Amino acid sequence: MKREPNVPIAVIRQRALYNALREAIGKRIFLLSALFPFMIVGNVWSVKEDFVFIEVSSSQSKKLENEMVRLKIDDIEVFYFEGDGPKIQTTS
Amino acid sequence: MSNSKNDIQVVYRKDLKHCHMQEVYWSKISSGIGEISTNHDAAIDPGNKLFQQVTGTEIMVTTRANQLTFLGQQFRPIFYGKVVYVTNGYITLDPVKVELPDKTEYYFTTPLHFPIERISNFAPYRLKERKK
Repeated sequence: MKREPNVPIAVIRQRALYNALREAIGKRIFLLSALFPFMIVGNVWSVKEDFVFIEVSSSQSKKLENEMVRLKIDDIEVFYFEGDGPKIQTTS
Repeated sequence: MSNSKNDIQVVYRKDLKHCHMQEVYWSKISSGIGEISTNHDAAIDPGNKLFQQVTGTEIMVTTRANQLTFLGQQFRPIFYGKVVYVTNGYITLDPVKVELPDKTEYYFTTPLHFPIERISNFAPYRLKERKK
């Protein structure tokens, strides 16, 4: 991939991350964040600009269960979405 | 995209003869062979080359958060694992280990993706040598 001129590396990384989450639409996702709700397991519904829409199936907080959470992608610390790899186990 | 040969492009390929299943799986993804290809970013930006250089080795990753909460426990965001896949946006470790505050180790059941922008530092680390 040839880098476009005057595009900082941070922007390239951000874009690649947003695109990766766009490809995860419809898949189950597990993620950790430093901010509330800390942990989310759910389904990715859509990606709008820098926000991802996740329907939460289980989380640290019971309040959010079965709700649609709009989460800023840049706040995701660690994530994993199910592809052909191992499946996410719900620990509860 | 032009068809001309691009010098920057580096694709990580591995000799699969002596690998176990997990390594074969990830190497197929990163070289884009077969149906399971999710190879949207096979060409790595030169700025991300330092992550591609550590593909296949075990590293320790610190992310930018003060602390993370998982399974009701708070721990420092230091992860140990083997780099199996690198894109422009994130790197994948598999398996991943964390140390919980009660000095026990926890292995995640799935691989984990780390957004490169959130990585503060990483260093080589041998999982097996340190195991007691």
